[in-house]
Amino acid sequence: MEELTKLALVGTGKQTASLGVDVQHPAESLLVEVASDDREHLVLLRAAARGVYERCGHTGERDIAALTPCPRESRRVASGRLLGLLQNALATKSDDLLKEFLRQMAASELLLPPELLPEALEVADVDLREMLLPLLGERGRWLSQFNTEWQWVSAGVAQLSSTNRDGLKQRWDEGAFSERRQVLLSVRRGDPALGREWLAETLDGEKAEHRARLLQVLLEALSPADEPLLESRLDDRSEQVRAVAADLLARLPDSALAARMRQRATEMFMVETAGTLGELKKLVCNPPEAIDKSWQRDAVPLKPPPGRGKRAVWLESVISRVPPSEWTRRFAAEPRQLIEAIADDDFWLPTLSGWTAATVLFAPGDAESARWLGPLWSAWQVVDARQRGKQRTTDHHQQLRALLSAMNREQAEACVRPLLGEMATDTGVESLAFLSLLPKPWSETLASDYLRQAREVLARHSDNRAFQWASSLQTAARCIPPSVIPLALEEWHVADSRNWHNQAAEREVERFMEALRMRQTFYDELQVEFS
Amino acid sequence: MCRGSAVYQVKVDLSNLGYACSCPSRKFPCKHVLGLLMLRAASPEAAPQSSEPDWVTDWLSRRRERAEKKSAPVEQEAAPATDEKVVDEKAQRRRAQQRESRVSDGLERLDVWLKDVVRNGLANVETKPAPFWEEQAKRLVDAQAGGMAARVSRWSEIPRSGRDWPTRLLIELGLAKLLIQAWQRFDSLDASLQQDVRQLLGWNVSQAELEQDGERVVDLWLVAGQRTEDEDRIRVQRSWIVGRATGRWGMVLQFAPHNQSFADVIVPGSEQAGEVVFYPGAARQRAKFLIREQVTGVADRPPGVDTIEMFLHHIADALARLPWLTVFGAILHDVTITMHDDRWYVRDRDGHCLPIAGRDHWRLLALTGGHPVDVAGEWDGYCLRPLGLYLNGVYRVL
Repeated sequence: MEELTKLALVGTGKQTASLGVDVQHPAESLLVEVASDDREHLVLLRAAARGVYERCGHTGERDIAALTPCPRESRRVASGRLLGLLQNALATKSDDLLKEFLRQMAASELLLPPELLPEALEVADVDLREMLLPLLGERGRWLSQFNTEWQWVSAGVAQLSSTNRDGLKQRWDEGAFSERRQVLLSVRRGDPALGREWLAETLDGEKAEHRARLLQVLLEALSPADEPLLESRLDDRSEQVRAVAADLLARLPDSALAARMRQRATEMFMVETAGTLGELKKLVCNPPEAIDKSWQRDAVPLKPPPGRGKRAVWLESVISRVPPSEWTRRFAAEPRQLIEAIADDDFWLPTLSGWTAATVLFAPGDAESARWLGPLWSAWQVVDARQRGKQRTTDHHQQLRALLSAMNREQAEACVRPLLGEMATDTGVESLAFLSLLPKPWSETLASDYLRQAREVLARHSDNRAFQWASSLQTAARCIPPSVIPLALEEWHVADSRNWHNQAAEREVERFMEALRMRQTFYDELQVEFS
Repeated sequence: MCRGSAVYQVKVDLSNLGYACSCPSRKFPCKHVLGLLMLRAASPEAAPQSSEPDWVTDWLSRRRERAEKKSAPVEQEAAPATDEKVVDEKAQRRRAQQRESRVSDGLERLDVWLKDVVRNGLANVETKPAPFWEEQAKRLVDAQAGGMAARVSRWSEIPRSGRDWPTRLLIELGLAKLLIQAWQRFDSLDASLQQDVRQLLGWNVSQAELEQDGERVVDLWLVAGQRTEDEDRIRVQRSWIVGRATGRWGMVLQFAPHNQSFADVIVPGSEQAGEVVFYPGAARQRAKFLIREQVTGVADRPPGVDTIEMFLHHIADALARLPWLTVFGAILHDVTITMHDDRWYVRDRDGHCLPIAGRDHWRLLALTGGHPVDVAGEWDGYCLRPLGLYLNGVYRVL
């Protein structure tokens, strides 16, 4: 055959060798009858005869090893409708829903159906991977050994084996920006020093925005070992990059920047005491009239943004990088007292903003700073109430939202639950946005209070408020705990008027019910698996 | 969730997806039927096997009667034409002769073109664009040799398809040449081979011819796999069926324009008693359902071959009967999925392997876990394309 192919490739017109039928060949010998002098005719018929002959003689390949079969599962494997629901959640990238499903499966010690494994192993998100790991079972671990992209299973999400280290390095060197950022994040989890090394090598070549966002990744597993790199970034041309570096350095209590900031901050405040016990009466804030280059290097902006005073901006920029616990310790006072003591000062508002930013930054790792969350929330509530109607309150809302997202569930719900009634009024509807910041899932109390309020608003009103509440149902659909779903699935009445708001509300209610039914089906099926 | 006011009798025939429901809805299919189908698709175990209630049996027998009535009028219409048959036959014969000479002309032109291609060398066609091949195919369509035209239009995909493309193309060209040769020596061929050659070149077999000359086989037929391919303006559906008692394999072809569904619903993995007619010829591969009855109860293990060697023997036998066969259905018993150097294989108990077409078979591997299963697929002489899988007695479409 090879010889014939060569001949045909070059073309019979360019060759003169004679080519008769090979009478020794069992198939070709059949051609003797139809053979002629026509060379092309002969080549084609010989190819047909040999081709069919070889197809008939086709044998399988024999030296390919079998794979060692996968061991038996020791735990139950999800099946049937769970598969469909999981598939749907994976395909539509509904991460919230997927995470909820995975959590429930892990609690029931159920494994992913084999059919879903290839998709599950393709997941790139580090958090999702962590959740998937215990659900892959023997089959998932077995399968992952055959694909280099899936080595995270055997290596663990955090650990880096040398093989996938090479793979990651390649993706780090060649990938698109978002992928590189993701790669850096996983490397940082497994081997913080290596991540820092990779970043340090390429940082100078990146554009400013990317420098800032990559540097931000160092927040993962941040340690004093990162200080030299971060400190050197304070000399970056870009203000954005310097700000990221300064924020990170501020989180390292023993860093040089943290000390500089503390020093600058304490110089701005004077305290007036009263009474024999030297009780704190008043805080007086006095930011400097001018700053030098060293401030600027530490990401304190030399020129304020339009509409703001430079001293206020410097103040805010400095104290937002000092742990609030510093103040309670230094002045031996409670957060509430300190907030009250600054209230009459000219610089009370930037001080409040700075403390808020600092509290959000430091609360996760510093219990003393976390104690500021509640008092600051109350303070901003007062500011918000005082200013309402006079000017736009979005600024204050931003402060409140930031505080909320730093709180644990109990704190956050204690802050938001009392506001539900106000949210149902015409003017308080803006506060609905807080709901999406609460940790998931909501407590049963909050969920049922919310449902009661939502039913009332939708049944009575047909204005923008009704529409806003209906929109918030999509958040609720993800946050309502399983035990409250039956309550949520009870009948809904939407005020019966034909205006646009109500029609939209009806659609939202329908979507809400649909999403909850899907979750309910999942929980029901979980029960079925074990009955 | 859905609390209705009455209980409805919902029925779906899984052999051809016929449905009925006793609800008054004017939407077809109604929500009850869709619900039943979705339940069945999501969790087959939710609809347990049980004996048919009377209302289901009644409905099925009525459906069958109607289906038989539908096919009956064709014969009746054909019958009253006897009066004008004399005139008709003459014209028919003239038309038939005309077509034969057109086909002969078309094949002669193709022969000349093939000769040119081989004289100038296959290396020259490596970079030819699709129209180079399409033009020849179009000429053959004009010459009423549609079967040959389809053959030629498939060639455009061969160059650069793999390292062995010159050999593959040369064999294809050779087989076309062999077909031309067969046409030129038509009278010296066996009667059955003559039937095959005509069908291969593009003659249709009429319903009457099929019923007269075709081979009828009654059996319990499994639909082992199905593939749908887009061809120029139409979709072609190939269903591979295999009889439990006879072990006969058949290929049921259906054609439909792009935006329309196929006339018959043939459900992969289903199993039904019925009568099949094989197209006349030496190979008897193409088949058509004459009578399909309802899906039978729990299926036993599907019929299939136990070793790859045995399977390849069957292929050799079939090719010996008709060298132009290109695709074959198969169910391989107890094969494992394996991979080597980025290529995938099925491997039988003797350690023989066949390559699997394509590069992404992770789902197949995940489902089987390296354990032996029965795999249904289509063999094209080079690779096996997996179409279905029997997993714990349940068929899964791949």
